[in-house]
This record gives sequence, structure tokens and C-alpha cells, in this order.
Amino acid sequence: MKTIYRLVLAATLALSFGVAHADVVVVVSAKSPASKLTKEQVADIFLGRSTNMVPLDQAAGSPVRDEFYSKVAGQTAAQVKTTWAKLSFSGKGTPPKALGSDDEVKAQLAANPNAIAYMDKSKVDASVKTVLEP
Amino acid sequence: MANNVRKTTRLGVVDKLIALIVGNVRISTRLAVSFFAVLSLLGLATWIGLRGLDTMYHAADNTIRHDVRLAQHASTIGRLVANERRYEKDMILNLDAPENIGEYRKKWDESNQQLEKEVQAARELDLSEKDREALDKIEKAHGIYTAGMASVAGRIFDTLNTAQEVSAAMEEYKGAVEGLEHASDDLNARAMAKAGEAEATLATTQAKTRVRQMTLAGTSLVLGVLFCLIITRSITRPLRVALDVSGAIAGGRFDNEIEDGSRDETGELLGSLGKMQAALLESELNAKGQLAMIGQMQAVAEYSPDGLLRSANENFLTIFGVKLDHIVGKAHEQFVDAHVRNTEAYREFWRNLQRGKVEAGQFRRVGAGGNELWLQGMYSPILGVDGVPFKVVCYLTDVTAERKAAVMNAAFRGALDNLDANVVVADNDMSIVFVNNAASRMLQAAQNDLRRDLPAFDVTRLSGSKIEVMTREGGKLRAQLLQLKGTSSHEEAIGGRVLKSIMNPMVDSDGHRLGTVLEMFDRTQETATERELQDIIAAVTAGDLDRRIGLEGKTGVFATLSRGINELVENVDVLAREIQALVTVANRGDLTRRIVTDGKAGLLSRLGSGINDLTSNMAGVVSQVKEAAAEVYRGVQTISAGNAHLSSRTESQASSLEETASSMEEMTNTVKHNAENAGLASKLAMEARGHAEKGGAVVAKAVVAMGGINEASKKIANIIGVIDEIAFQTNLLALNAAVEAARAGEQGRGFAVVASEVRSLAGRSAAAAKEIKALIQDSVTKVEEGSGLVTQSGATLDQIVASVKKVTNIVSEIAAASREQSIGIEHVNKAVAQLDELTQQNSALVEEAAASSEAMTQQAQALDKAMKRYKVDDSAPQDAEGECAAA
Repeated sequence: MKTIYRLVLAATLALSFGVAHADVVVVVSAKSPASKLTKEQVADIFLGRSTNMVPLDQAAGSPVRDEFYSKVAGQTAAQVKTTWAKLSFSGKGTPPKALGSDDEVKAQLAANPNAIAYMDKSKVDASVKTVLEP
Repeated sequence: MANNVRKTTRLGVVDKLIALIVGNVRISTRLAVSFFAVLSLLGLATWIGLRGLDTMYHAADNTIRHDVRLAQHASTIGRLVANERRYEKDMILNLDAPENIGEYRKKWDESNQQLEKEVQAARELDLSEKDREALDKIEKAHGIYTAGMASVAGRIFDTLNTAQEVSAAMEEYKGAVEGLEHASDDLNARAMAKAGEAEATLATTQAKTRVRQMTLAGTSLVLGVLFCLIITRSITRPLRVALDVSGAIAGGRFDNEIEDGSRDETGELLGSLGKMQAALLESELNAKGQLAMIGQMQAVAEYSPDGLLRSANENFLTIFGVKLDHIVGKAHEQFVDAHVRNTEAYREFWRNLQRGKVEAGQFRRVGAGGNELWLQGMYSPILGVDGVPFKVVCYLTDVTAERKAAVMNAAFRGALDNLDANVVVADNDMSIVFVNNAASRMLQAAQNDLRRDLPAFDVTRLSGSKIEVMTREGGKLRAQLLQLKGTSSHEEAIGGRVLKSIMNPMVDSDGHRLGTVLEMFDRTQETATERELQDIIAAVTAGDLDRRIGLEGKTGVFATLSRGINELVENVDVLAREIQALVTVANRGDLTRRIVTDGKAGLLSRLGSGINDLTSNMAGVVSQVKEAAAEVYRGVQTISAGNAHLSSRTESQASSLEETASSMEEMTNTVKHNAENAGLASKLAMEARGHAEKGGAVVAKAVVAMGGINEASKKIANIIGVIDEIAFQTNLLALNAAVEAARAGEQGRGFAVVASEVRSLAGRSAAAAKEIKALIQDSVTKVEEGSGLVTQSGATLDQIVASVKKVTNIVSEIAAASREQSIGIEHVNKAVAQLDELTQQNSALVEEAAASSEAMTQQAQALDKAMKRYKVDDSAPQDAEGECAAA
């Protein structure tokens, strides 16, 4: 009984903690020359309007992805998809590569100083640097 | 046979025709023209073949480059447009997966660009108007489709939201795509049709070319064969003719008819054959004529091989004086002496002829009536084809007269050979024709010498040589011989020999010159003796009496003359040598030699004894001079010894004087030194006196100063007494003040302290005054003691001054004495110097005297020595120095 109580408490705490801290941040490689970017700049990059940097996507349907696009571009996942379908059809670009995990994102960032990505703030470490906290 | 030959040597009608056509052309030209014609045809055929190949190549090339390529481009365009449609559909199907669309879009773009490139590539080909239109159509349709694609893409998710909608929108451009496909199919079909046409063109061209080439090759072949036949025939036929003619000539026929058909090489060959035939004919005629000539000139007879006479010509019969009827059929031996007929030599003569050997030479034969005949010529066997003689022919000339002349000639020669005179005979050509034995011997003896100048000279080959072989002056001798009228001579030195020739012309009975007879003399010895005599006379004239004439090889008068001259020179030489020997030893001092006068006569003897007298007289004079010289030498020796004594004594005197002079010098120096020292002492004494006097004055001043000090000390003692008193008073006052202060009580306490201080100060002043007083007292005492001492020292100084004055005076006296002493010594010095000078002069005089006597001694010695050289009697010359020592 005591154990159950404890578990419920922990879950409650964890839940409240997780909801409260689901903050997404935009990052680049620690070696990248970029320092700070505005929301508009990031949105342009991730929606094919600017080709200055190479955007990296998280897995489709992941909460962090949805949160990123809603916070930065103010678009839903479906809206993003149609945007890219239109661009691809007219030959003006291809959607960013979707990566399966944060580690993969970090590895890609390390390999390409010109790449840009987003992740949960808690996943940020010394290999990356934050350029925008929306 | 003759007809047969004649037929074969003729040319046929065909050959004549050929000769007419090509006969004037040389074979080389003919061959060249033929080959050129055939080669030209061959060249033409090759050219046609190449042209056909060219046409074919162009047709094929056009097809491949244009038609086939155009067809390819057209089909590629069709394929590419189909691809574009496919990728378009793929894109539409993937509308909800935009990450896949990109890939298809990329492929679509590639196909799109590829299609445009294909159209451009097709345009660069050589195109017809229709093709160009088709390409324009394709390009236009493709432009419409591409624009439609862009338009649709721009509307996606704006107005077209589903795949169906998009697909429907694209339907609008389907027509354009289909038009494009049609156009490309059209183009392809046309290009393929053209390629088919090219194939047909190729086949036609190939067939045409083949026919042309075959025709030309055939023509070349026919022409080649024709040329070959004509040329071969034109060469072989005339050669056959030439062969036949040559055969006829070999067979001895020289009248063959040779046609002059052509001017080519074979024509030349036939021409040459004709010339050869003519030359052979001429030589045959020539031989026949010559034989006839020989028959006229010489005696000719023919014998059978076994010696039977067959025929004889007119000359033969005339020489032998016989008639042909009498001799024909008889043996040859009828013409030889009976005693010869059976000899082995005669039989050998005929055996040789039967063997085929020619017998030539002079033969003795017998004519009619036993007449002796000499015949010159030859017996010549004529050989048959089997090499065996079938007849003997003789060609003979009568030389009987010449033979007799020759015999006579030989007899003359024999006679000349036996002469002692050296005879050489030359003919008019200057050839030597005869050398007799005496001349041969003489020249043989001289041969080695002669070869020095005439290396080719050879006695054995003299006969038949030109006269020039015997002389170095060939031109001169020849000219002399040619102009020779009477006796003349020629002399010349050859290789050390002197040869003289006396030349006479030989003239025959008609006065014609036949040659020259040369009588030769070897004048070598004579000439040599002459030269030797000249040489010896020249030598004697020049004073050389050593030479004699060699007697070797001299004979007769040369030997006698030479011996006489030698004796004459010998006599003069002996006397001259004796005189020379005498003078030589006399020069060395020996006057004992004399000339032997025995065996000398006349002037030579008188000359010898005169010289002997002269020598004796000289010896006498020398002896007298010798004695006088010895006397002089002794006297001079004595003088010399006296001089030596005098010299040594003068020298010792001079050295004593020198010693005295140096002692005086030392003494003078000592005295001078003394005087100087005395002066110095006097000066020092004066100075000491001055110092002592100054000391006295100082002491006096010191005494006065002491008195002053004493006074001052007393005054100080008084002042100190006053101070002491003041101190005492002060002490009292201070005591009073202390008392008063005590009385004043408390108010006077400070004052009392001051008063006590003043009292102690007064006490200390009093004590100090007492001490100073004692000190002053002490110094007064000491000053008094000093005063006394100063007074004492003043007295002592006065005494010193007096003593010093005395010393000064004494020293002055010493100085004066020294000066006087010095002057005295100076006088002594001068006297010694004069004495020395005199002694020196003495010494010089003595030395001069000694030198003179020494020189005199030497001269006396030299005189003595000079005289000693002379030997005046047979005793040995004496030792001059030994005699001097004895003197």
C-alpha cells in the first residue's frame, strides 16, 4: 500500500515535471560559426524558403517535432507536409531528412557544421550549441 | 647449201612489217614505251577503282552520319518523352509523401534536359526541310508540356488538392505530348527510309566500278601481250639472221648479203657483222698478196716431209743455177756437200722438220757445178689438222757475198785485238761497235774507279752501247766526233782516272764516213805525279819539309824524278831539324849542343859550323856573367845583415822612449789631480769658515732671546699672584653671601645655592693659579740653564772659525805648489816627444836601407838563377840556392 502510494506520487511528479519541461530548442554543431537565430530565420530554413543551412528533422509524429513546427513556424505537421509536397513537385527542394533519435541528430550535426536541428532542451550537451529557445 | 643459207638469212614479211613500224626505235626505248603504256593502263584502272571506292565511301558515310543518326535521335526523343510522362505520374501518386517526390522530379528534369539536347544534336545534322519542320514541332510541343508541368506544380494544394485533381489538370497537355510522339515517329521513319536508299546506291556504284575495272584490266592484258610479241619478234628475228651470217663467215664465206633493215641494236649488230666480213675479206687478200711478194723476193721451194723436192720458184732456180726439170722429185741432199749428207747433224735437221720444228739460220748449200752458196732463211713445216707436217716450205735469201765480207771483218778484228794500243771503234750513230783486248783490259782495271762517276759503266756490255757511257761530257764528245775531220783528242778525269782519247774518223773508199777509231790512254799516273810534284814544291815553299812523294805504283821516269825530289827535301829537312833542335835546347839554357857537320857539304856544312861558333861564344859570355853575379850576391848579403842589426837596435830605443813618454803622461795626470783636489779643499775650508761664523751670530741672538723669555716669565708670575688674590676675595664674598642667605631664610635659599657655587669656582681658580705659578717657576729655571749652554757654544764656534782659517791657508799653498809641479812636467814631456820623433826618423831610414839591400839580394839571386840555367860545359847546372846559403 505504501509502495503504491509512492509510485503514484512519483508518477504524478514525473508527469507534472515532463509537461512542465517539454521545451524544444534549436541547435547547431558546437563547431558551427552560427550563434543566435530568430524564429523567422529558423522557419525559413525548415520550410525550404532559405537554403543557407541544412535542416535535420526528428521522426515524423514525434512530440518534439510537432512542438517545434507549431512554436517556430506556427504550422501543424499536415501543413508542413503540403508545403514540402508543393515544393518537391515544382522541383524547388526536398523535405529535410527525418532522423530516428537525438543521438543520430547529434552525430549528423557533428559531421556537418552547416547543419541545423532541434531537440528537447534536456538533451542538449557540449557537442551542440543552442541558437534559439522559442 | 648456199641457197639454204641465203634463205635463212632473209627476214619474213611479218618481220619486215614489224621492222618498218619499230625498226627505227631502239630496243631500250621500245621496252620503255611498252612498259609505260601498260603501266599507264594499270594506273588508270587503279584510279577508276579508287574513284568507285570513294563514291561508295561517301554514300555509306552520308548514311551513317545523317540518316542513321537522325533515326536514332528521333527514337531517343520518343523514349524520353515517355519517361517524362512516367515520372510525372509517379510524382502525382506520391503527393502525400513529399520525401519521395523529389527523386522523381529530379529524373523528370534529367529526361527533360536530355530531350532538349537530343533535339539540338539532331538540328546539327544536314537536314531536309521536312525534318527541320518535324524538329520544330517537337520542340514546340515539348515547350508546351514543360510549361504545363510548371503551371500545375504552382497550383498544387492551392486549387488542386488531390492526386485525381492534379492528374486531370495534366490531361490538358496530353495532346502536346502525343503530337511530339507523332513527330518523332515520323522523323524516325523518314530517316530509316533514307538509309535504305543509301544501300541501293552502294550496290549500284560497286557494280559500275567492277565493270570498268574488268574492262581496263582486259585491255591492259591484250596490249601487254601484243607489245610482248612485237618486241620479242623484232629482237629475235634479226638475231637469227646475225647467227646465220656468223656461221657462214666461220665457214670461210665472206660474200654474204646482209640487209640493213633497221637502226636498232640488232641493226647495229648486223652492220658490225658486215664490217667484220669486209675486214676479214681484206686480210685474206692481203695474206695472199704478201705470199706472192715473198715468192718474188725469196727463193721458195716445197718439199715432201721425207725431203723430196716438189716445186721451186724462179728465184730458187736462178740462185742454184738449175732447171726445175732436173731437180723435181729428187731429194734435198742434192744441194748439200757430199760429206755432209751422211752426218748426224744433217739427219737431225730433217728429223726436226718432220717433227714440225722450224729450222732457221744460215745454211751452206751447193749450187750447180759445186758452187758454194750461203743461204739465210727458214725451213718451215706446214702442219695438217692432225698436227703432222704434210709438207716443208723453205724461204731463203742468198747471203754468200755478205758472208765473205763478214769473214774478212773478223780477221781485222782479230788483228786489232792483238795490238798493244787500246782501240775502241764507234759507228756513225756513236754506238761502240768494237773494243780490242788491250782496251778491255785497261778499262777493266779502271772500272771500279770509273763507276764512281759513271755508276752504270760495265766493260762487258760496252759493245753496242752509245759512246756516252764512257764519258761525263757526252754532249761535248758527241759534237766533237760529229765534226771530226782529222786527228783530234779528248781528255777527261773520271772517277779519279784521267783518260785521254785520240780520235780518227773512218772513211770508206767513196769518202763516206763509217765511224770513228779512238785510241785510249790511261794518263792517271802521269797526271797524278804532276800534281804531287806541284804539291810538294808548294809545301816546301810554305816551309813544310815533312812531305815526300809516294813511290808506290810509280814506274820509270816518274819513280826516278820522285826519288830525286825526295832526297833534296830530305837533306834540307835534316839540317833544318838539327838547327831547330839546337835553338830549342839553347832556349832552355843548354849551350853544349853542336851541329854535326860530317856528311854535309858546301853551304850546308858552313852554315852548321857558323852556328856552332856562335853557340860557343855565347857559352863563354854566360860563364863570365855567372861568376860576377855570384860576387855581387855575396856583398849584398853582408850589407843586408848589418842593416838588420841596426834596425833591431833602433826599434828597441824607440820602444824605451815610448815607455818614458807614457810614464810622464801618468805623472802629469796625477799632479793635475792633486792641484784640483787642493783647490777643492781650500774652497770647502772657506765654506766651513762662513758656516761657523753664521753659527756664532745665531748663538748670540739665542742668548738675547733667552733673556727676553726670562723677563716675560717673571711678568707672568706677577699676573698669577693677582689672580690668586682675586680668587681669595671672591671666596670671602661668597661666604658672606651664604651667611646672608641663611639669614633671609626661606627666601634666601636660592641665593645660598648660588653663593656656594661661586665659592667652589673661587677655590678652583686659586688652585689653578698655584699650579701655573709652579710651572712658570720651572720654565724660568730651564731658560737660565739654556742661556748658559748657548753662551758656551758661542765660544766653541769662535774656536772652530779660527782653525778653519788656518786650514784654508795651508790648502792654498798646496794648490800653488801643485801648479808649479805641473808646468815642470810639461817641459819634460816636450823633450821626450822630440827624442821620440828623432828615433822614428832613424828607424825609417834603417828600414829603407834594409829594404834596398833586400831588393838587391833578390836581384842578385835572380841574376844568379838566370845564369844557372845556362849549361856551358857538360857538368850539371848547380843549385843556385845552395850557393846563396853558403855565401
